Amino acid sequence: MIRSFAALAAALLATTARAESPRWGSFEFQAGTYLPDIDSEFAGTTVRPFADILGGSGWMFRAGVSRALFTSAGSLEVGVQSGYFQKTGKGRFLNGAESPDETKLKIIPMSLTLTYRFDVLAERLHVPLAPYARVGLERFAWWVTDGNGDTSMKGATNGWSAAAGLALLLDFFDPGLAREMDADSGVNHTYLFAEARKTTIDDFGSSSSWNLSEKNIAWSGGLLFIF
Amino acid sequence: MRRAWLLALVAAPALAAAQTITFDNTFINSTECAGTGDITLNWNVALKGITALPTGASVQVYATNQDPAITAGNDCPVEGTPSGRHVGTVGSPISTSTVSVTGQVFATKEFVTAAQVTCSDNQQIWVCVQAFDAAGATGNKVGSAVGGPLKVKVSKPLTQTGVSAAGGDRSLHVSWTDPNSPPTSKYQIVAASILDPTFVSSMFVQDPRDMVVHRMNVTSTSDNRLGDLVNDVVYALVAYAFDEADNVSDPSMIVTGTPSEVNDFWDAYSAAGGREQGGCSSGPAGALGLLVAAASLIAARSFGRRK
Repeated sequence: MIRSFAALAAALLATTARAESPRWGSFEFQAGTYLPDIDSEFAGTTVRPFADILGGSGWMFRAGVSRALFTSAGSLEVGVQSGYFQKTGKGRFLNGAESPDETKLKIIPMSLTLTYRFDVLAERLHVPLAPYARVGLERFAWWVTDGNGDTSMKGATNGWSAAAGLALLLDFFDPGLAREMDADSGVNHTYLFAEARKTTIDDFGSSSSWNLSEKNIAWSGGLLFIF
Repeated sequence: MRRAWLLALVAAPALAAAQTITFDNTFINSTECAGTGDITLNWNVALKGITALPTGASVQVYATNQDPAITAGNDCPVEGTPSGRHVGTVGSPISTSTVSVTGQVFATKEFVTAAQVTCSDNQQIWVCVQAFDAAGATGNKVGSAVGGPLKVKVSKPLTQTGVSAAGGDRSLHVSWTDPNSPPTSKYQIVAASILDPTFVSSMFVQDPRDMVVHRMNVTSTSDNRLGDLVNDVVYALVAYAFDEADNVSDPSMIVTGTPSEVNDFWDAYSAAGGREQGGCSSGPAGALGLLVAAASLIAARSFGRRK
């Protein structure tokens, strides 16, 4: 038992005591669910174009890069993200019956983000967890295609987002590999994270924009590389 | 000794590759067997005993129904033995140590006749190329290669069944069942407009709104989307199957389908009274978009400089 604790302590110390390469920022990619709240503008009616034709939530994939502004008491980073979302459904004949033709809503989200990651726990106190918070300005470029693959309409809708998450420092499990990765590629740390995000994408309440806000809370997970 | 083995191992693939015959198609279908169509041959023949073919040398092409691997000497047959027959002559072969020829075209029927096979399934034809150091086949044989077999397949694939055509926007979604085992995997849909959906197949009149006969080659039996049609026009269509030898099945039963206007998601949203108008945002929201775009560019440049 004592030997196990000693090994664990050694691993923890090895995680933090090593000399790291200089830090610039971070890179991440994530996958999560997304359900645009387009139908909200039809509240009080029985009309639900998104639900009726495209159904429920789909997968959104994002990748982002951030520049560290400071790293002395946690990390503050400013960055950009982009990704892709697509939802496919069946078009409707004029009598309302389902047609075999597909129709798609495609979205490329673009974000300008500010992230604070409390990585003091992981880097100094040997607890491999780093909670973080993020706010972002969002711009969703979107387009709708018909059964022929032609674009019926396209546009862009802006908004903001707020997110909170918890990152697990993977270096903790294999400090040797982490050191090797830092030496080979300059990646200081690797985190596995889970995130909850609330987005409000409606051109800040514009009366001529639809509502691409996440209907509920968008959950996502991914990998974060500090380099 | 070890070095000799190594050399032999290294040289063996090269030697094997030096005597080959390849074909553009290894099947002979019913049309080709009946006399239409060509086969393109490429070959490499390594010369033995001489370094180059002399002037006037020739390369002879033979076909046989006997597998040369089981004939005496494991070699190409000579004229008439066993069942080997002359197909053609290449009079001016390239005079190199390897007689390498590409794109030699022969009538498919010539191989069938020379090999003395019938136009029925499972007949096989081997092709032999022999180089002689004199005109015709009168000189010494100084190299040969064998290839094949070419397989005769003349039976038609079974006719496709259960064809259905569901209308889409300027399209028909066509599905059917392939009774062939294994499935043929190459199909063609042929559709033409008709005026009267109760037509008699040989007497229908095309709708003037679409006088084009539409054809589409596909590899699946389900949900094939035949596009570029005209909404509200009735189309008659059939499906054909093609086998590996390109034999074509009889047409399926004729079915009809009618493309109709379809509301996509945007149409449905707009028809429901949706307020989005499309286009990029202007005003404060648009400015935000520019801000995000500019920040992305700055970040990209900054990241690039770091690298």
